[in-house]
Amino acid sequence: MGVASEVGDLLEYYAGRGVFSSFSRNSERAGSARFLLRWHRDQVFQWDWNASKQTLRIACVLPAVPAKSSMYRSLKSWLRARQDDDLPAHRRCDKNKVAVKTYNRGGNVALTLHVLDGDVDYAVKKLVNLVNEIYLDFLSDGLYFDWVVDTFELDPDRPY
Amino acid sequence: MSEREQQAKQAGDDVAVSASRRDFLRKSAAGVGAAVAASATAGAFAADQVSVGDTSIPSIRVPVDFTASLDEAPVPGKFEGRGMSGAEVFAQLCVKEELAALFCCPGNYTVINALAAAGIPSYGGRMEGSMCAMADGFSRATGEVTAASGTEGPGFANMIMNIAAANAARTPLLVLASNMTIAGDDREAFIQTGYQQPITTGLKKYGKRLIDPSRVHEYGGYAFRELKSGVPGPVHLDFPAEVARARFKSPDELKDFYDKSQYRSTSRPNPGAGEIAQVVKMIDKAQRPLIVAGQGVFQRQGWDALARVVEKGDIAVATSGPTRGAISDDHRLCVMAAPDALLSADLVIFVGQYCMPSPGEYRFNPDIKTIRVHPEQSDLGRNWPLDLGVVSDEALFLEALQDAVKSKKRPAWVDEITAAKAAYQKQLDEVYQLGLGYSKKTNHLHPAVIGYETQHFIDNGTEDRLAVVAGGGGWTIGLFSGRYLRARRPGQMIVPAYQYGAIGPDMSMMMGACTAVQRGVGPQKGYEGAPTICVTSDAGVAYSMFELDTANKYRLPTITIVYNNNAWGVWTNAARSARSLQMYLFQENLRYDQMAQGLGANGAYVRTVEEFRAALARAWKLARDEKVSSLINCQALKEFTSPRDYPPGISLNAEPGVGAVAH
Repeated sequence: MGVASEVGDLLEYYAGRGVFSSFSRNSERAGSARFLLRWHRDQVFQWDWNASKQTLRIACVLPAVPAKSSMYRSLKSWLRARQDDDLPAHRRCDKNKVAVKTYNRGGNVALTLHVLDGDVDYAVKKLVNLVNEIYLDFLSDGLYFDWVVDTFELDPDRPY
Repeated sequence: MSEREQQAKQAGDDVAVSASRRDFLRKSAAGVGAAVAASATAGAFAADQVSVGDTSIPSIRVPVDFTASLDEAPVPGKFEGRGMSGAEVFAQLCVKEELAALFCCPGNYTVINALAAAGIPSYGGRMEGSMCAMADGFSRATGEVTAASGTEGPGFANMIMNIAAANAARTPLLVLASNMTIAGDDREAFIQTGYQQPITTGLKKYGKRLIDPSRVHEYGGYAFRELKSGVPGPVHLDFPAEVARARFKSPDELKDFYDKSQYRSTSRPNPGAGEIAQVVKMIDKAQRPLIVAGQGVFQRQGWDALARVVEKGDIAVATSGPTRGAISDDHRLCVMAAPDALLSADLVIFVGQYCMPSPGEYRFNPDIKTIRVHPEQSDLGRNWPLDLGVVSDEALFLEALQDAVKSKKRPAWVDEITAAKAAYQKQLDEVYQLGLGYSKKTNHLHPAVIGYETQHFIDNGTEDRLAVVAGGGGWTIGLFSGRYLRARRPGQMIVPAYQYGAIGPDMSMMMGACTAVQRGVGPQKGYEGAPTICVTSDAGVAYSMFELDTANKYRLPTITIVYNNNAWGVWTNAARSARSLQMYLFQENLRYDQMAQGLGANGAYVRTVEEFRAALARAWKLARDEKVSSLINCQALKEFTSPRDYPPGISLNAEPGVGAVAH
């Protein structure tokens, strides 16, 4: 079984546990693959596994976050804190195993995990947990309440 | 003073020094606060006369007929003589089923009069919806079945929002309403005719319009079977006059006229030995297990077994549901105020979680394993995929587990919980300090200050912090105060907004809870006489505040803290929409405190933290010593809701946890 399939199987496992509301394998070639999954705030997340770069990338983990905004600065700071050695292992992104990077293109925040030691299983799980915490923890700050409602076009009485 | 008035006065005095009151006062101690020194002395709240301009008029008072009526002995119906009415047959069944209380407005006369005459503790108020919320609040504070009643069409229709709230909270609420006559069906005979049962579709566990008078006892049995088995919920019976007023001279004329031990069973499902073994194995394998104790644990009074299970295995615990405190928020393993620890749990055991969240609605990680324990098989697997489902009564499951679970220390998990609690408390303290700064700068009270100071008063300004049942709602103030208020024993906190999110029933619901506390029902035993505290909003209070008349009439010592920000808390949704904001705003600086005074309660208007502390202390003293209710009008600014104006603004609270309202 190729690594791309392994990534897909891991994501499908989460879909099977009800974490994602839908999941599909979009394309797979030359060891790389694309997956689409519907998750928090009913957003479709595009995941790409790049075998040559050994990266897992989510093209848009958060939309509408201007690159020069305080929100983007806070997000980067929050992500750095996820790699803090003081965090317990089950909550930490181990810097020896993965490198976490963000990119901002026109307000769309891309999130990439560079797999440093070939442990793709670890990387997939960490990225799933990282995105989960972005939505359940980072966005729970009152500063982002209106942003969440506006950006995801939610009913303010049901901002999930 | 006439002899009758003297008797009535004596009856009133007897209420004032009832055993319940003495029990509470016995625990009382000095030191409510220096601010009290400047307040009215006990017995001085109500004057006989008040002056309006140059005219002296009688002050507000409870009528002697009211007190005399309350003091009358029960007179249950009997088959002899005129015979028993259908309403009396039903009332006797309710007595045998220990119906805890009836809350109503006049209407459905035959039924409510029969219930009161039979000895059911009965309370009459100003609006059917509010009385329905009171019945719900009483039940939330005790787990007991209560009843609400309204007249045919309008009174019944007025109850709808709060029947829906009770349904969402799975309250065992008996909804009673009269329904004119069967003979008048489809003829629009006189007024108030309507088909009731379709209106409560989706809002009840069971409902029936009684048609055949001889089956009134049989359907009473139906009602209590549903109210006292499985997952509770509202039961709606409507009584046409042909049923309520029918006369019976012999039990032979009634179908299924037998004892409750024959028409319903108290048998409960036990967990299988194999299932308990699987649960024990999964707990043993987990590093960071967590039990979410839902409403079922409260309903089935499983809190002692719950504490033994979590302590034996160092298992984290959270509570959920419309009533909080099945385990103390202060317990070393409780994660109600440790939201960051929730994300670390690797096994969750839902016990009696009647209202299931979906993944993503609870603050859990995607790898968490799940066990769910529920009394009904059909609900297992709904919303949340399972690793193991167990059909069991909640208390029986916990009792079985306390023997089977292995003793195990999980120091790393306990340390993580402790650290998460400290981090959350630091965050709360920082927001309080921010709020203090905003309050001083604007001379208006910030919601974080109200929440913090209220809990601080409960902890430090009252004789027994465990005695005070608190709860509340509202949007901005509900979200803020929910974080600061703490539950430390079963039934100590009510969550009026639970699952349905209704704005408005909070104050009435807490009056219902107060009724239960005064009588020491269920987990409120030992706290008889203690005042209750409700924190609510100016939007919400409009739905309930006329019941201050009811509270004072029945000497219910309630304290209501109103966050008055001159607006619906959701005003920010209109802030950028043309011509919309006007729909969200009230007149500014409304004097809810003066309205409260007009209803016979104590009213206070405050804008600073010092004024708020003093008002709370005075309200407490009046409630404790004179059974006088208070409303504290806290003048605020609507802009406190907005993170742009006063960061951090509002945010939803982590679920499960303090301040949670959804599941």
